[in-house]
Amino acid sequence: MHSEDKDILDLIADDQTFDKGFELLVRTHQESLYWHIRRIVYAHEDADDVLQNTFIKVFKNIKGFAGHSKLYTWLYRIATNEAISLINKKKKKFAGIEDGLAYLENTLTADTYFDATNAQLLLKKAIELLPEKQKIVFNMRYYDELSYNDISESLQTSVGALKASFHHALKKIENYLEDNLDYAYG
Amino acid sequence: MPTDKNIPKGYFWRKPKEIIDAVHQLEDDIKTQAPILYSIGKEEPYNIPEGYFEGFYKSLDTSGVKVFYLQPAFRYMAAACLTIAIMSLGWLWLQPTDPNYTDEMAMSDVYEYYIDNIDEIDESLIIDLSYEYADILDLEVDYTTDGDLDVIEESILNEMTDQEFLDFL
Repeated sequence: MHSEDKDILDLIADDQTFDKGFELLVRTHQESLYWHIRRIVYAHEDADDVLQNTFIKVFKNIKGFAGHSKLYTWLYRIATNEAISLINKKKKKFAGIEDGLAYLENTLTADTYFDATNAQLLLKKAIELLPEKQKIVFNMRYYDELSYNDISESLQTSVGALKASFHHALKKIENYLEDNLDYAYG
Repeated sequence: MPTDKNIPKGYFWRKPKEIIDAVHQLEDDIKTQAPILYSIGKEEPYNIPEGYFEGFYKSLDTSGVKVFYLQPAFRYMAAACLTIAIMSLGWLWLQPTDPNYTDEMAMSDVYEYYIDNIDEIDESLIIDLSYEYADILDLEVDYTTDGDLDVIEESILNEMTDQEFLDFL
């Protein structure tokens, strides 16, 4: 177990220092979890809601965390599930690939905290077109630069399958970017 | 297994280098396999309100939220109860309600459905399936080669028995 995780869990284990430990946990992991969530739900308001829900769930269940996995892979798992749950609810009214892209565009144009170049927007669209799991694997590997072992722990998927997912995702994204290059740099 | 007293020589020097090498390896892979993606870069187009992270902890309202803690002994009891419940439901589900009903018919229907709708099955599921299958047969799979993946994905339905396929699903 990482010494930082151990410090946090030691503080949390003692009722007298629980609050201090929980605050340390939040402050240590809030930023990386926020960006992970934001890449799934896109809008800041939604990311904020999901991050709040994630830490509420962590607060409720942290004493049951047995330490069999790294603390942050457990946190990523909760955050991922919360984010997918929200995005699925929101996407229910959008059916099919084209409408999924419409959802992305609507969400991002309505979000005041989004300012992208054409190329960056195109990349977001390419990622949005991936199957849900590939999208998450791609984000965790490409943006968060997590190791396959950590992603495996977090998503409960074999390393081999993750490598394949990432490879497929990379290929699909590159093909989409290539097909729409005029939009990005035109 | 190394203990505190016999950590391999140079371990702490080597570890950061391994991490840095792994990051560089990822960058190199992206550069060669996805040059357009590489040229766009990783800079995020998202912004956040000023001071968001500084104030986040204070905005977190945990008042009224109870910390859930199950004693280890209760955990095993809960797991045992859950197992019994699942087994009971499984047993009930397997009981034919119609004398003409057979499990084999139902499974073949499900199998047919997946065969007919293979294009609609999530690719991630097929990838997982490929690796499960490769593990079962102890196959050497090169995950970076499209050819290998395609061959495995295509051969799953031909080579797996119906039961293996359904077990996985």
